[in-house]
Amino acid sequence: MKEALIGNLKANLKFFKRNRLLLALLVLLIFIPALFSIPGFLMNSTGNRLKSVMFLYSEMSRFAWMIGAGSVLFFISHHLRNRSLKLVFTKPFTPEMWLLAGLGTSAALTLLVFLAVILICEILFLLWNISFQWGLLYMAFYDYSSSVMLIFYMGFLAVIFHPAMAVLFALIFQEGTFLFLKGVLKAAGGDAGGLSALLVKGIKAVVDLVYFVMPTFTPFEEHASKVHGSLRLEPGSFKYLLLSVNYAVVVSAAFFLLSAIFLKRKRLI
Amino acid sequence: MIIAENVTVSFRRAFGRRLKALDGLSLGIREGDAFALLGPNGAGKSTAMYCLMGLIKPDSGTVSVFGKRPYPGAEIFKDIAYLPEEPHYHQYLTVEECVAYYASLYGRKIPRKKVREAIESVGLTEFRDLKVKKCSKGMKQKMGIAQCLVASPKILFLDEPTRGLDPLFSKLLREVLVGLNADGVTIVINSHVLSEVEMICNRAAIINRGKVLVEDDLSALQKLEERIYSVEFTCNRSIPEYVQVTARGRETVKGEMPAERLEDFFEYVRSEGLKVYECSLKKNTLESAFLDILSGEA
Repeated sequence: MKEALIGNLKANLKFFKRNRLLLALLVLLIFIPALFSIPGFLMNSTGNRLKSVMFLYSEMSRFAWMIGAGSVLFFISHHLRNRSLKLVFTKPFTPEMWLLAGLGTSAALTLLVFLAVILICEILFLLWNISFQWGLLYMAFYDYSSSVMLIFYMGFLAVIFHPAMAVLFALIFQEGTFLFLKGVLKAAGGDAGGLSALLVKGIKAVVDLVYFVMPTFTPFEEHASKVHGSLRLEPGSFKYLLLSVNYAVVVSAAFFLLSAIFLKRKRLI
Repeated sequence: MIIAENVTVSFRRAFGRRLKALDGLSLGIREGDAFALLGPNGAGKSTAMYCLMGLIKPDSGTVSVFGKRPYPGAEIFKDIAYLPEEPHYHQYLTVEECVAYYASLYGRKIPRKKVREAIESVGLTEFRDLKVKKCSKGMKQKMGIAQCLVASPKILFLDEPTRGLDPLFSKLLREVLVGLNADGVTIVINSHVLSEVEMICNRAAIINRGKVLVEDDLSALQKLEERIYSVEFTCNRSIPEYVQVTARGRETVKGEMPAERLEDFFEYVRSEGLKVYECSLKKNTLESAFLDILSGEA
């Protein structure tokens, strides 16, 4: 099994290495810091430069998220659509192992991107004589765990949907949409009466249920944004980081199981 | 070794309609067999092969390979190699990377030397660093054969193995397959090229509309017709009435005649001073047996 897993990881890395679209995204990742760090060089105050690094970090981490989600979507959709999987599963290598190897490679790729982001920020800290901010490492860890969750979620969507549908689904069915709907329904519930009140109540129950079931990709967001706003750690910060990582592991495992079930039900011919 | 019993598979079509691809298919393949799945287009040969490998789960009926139910990634695949009909491989890998990757999935340490030997045996050594997506159809087919050979399987599933191959390599592949079968490898072939099946296989099943019409030894399907002789002799103006001409060439005539007129025929060629190129008991070809069975079913 070890040989098979290593062979699969090597092949997956070659897939990412030879994917031109992914390569273009990575090149763009290099341009972002180059572009966004220009204002920092024109500023003299350390405070402004720190803000510049924080802004740069949020842009790059958002990009790292996109690379993680995009890579797994490319990977699974490509293999499902070009029908090469029948050659993999007619070997003693199960769909679960293939899925795990694919998701694992995407997670490893995203880790590399996050390490590159930290390195770029550290270089700017050194250039601008700013002491290393541990809050940045905290945020990178928090964002990476969220990104892994997103990878597993996109992996699941890629197994069941066409890639375009998967992206559309991910964009529409997200926490923010249902939070917004909850607000709208709350406002509408106050004005409505009679039959429409009943209808609003019914829709609200459905929206509440979906909102409750839907995983969040930013657990304990208020604590994370506190650290993100100042890059300063507080005594309780690590407790929330640990809880966020645990949450990410549980959600990822759930999406992995669902993906495996759906992949095994597919006719891979 | 491979048993399918009463297997039914149907595919979902638009508006809730279902298309029955296999309809109570039953067959048995013994260890050491070179078994052919024959049938017209859309008969269910490929579906049958997918079922035998567990890539399609039957709606009803059972399939067992080595006494176990096959499913994707099952342990039984450590002794199985498969060559798909369509060359859908991992396009982004090179020929060598691809063969090594498929070999690695067996979970055994297969040395690079063995991978290169397999590539060499199919004549792709100079193309081993070429990406699969840039390979021609024939080259992809050869690569598929190489990944089968590197696995040293006990069962070899081949879906249209000579499709896209040049005649020279087709001949070589036939020899390789006959050699592997002689070494005890069970071969299951799905092919339209009946002459190829005649040379490789010892048993065959003729499938139509998802059902097995006949499953028998090839020798039984190609039984000798002992009452008729096939003859080919120098063209002559007067041909005896008992010779039924089947083909007339520029210099020769081919025909069939009853066995009891053999002495008369030799008397005739001697008296006319003709040359006899061929005179043998008529042998049913697999093609004629295939056509007879299908027309009988229709």
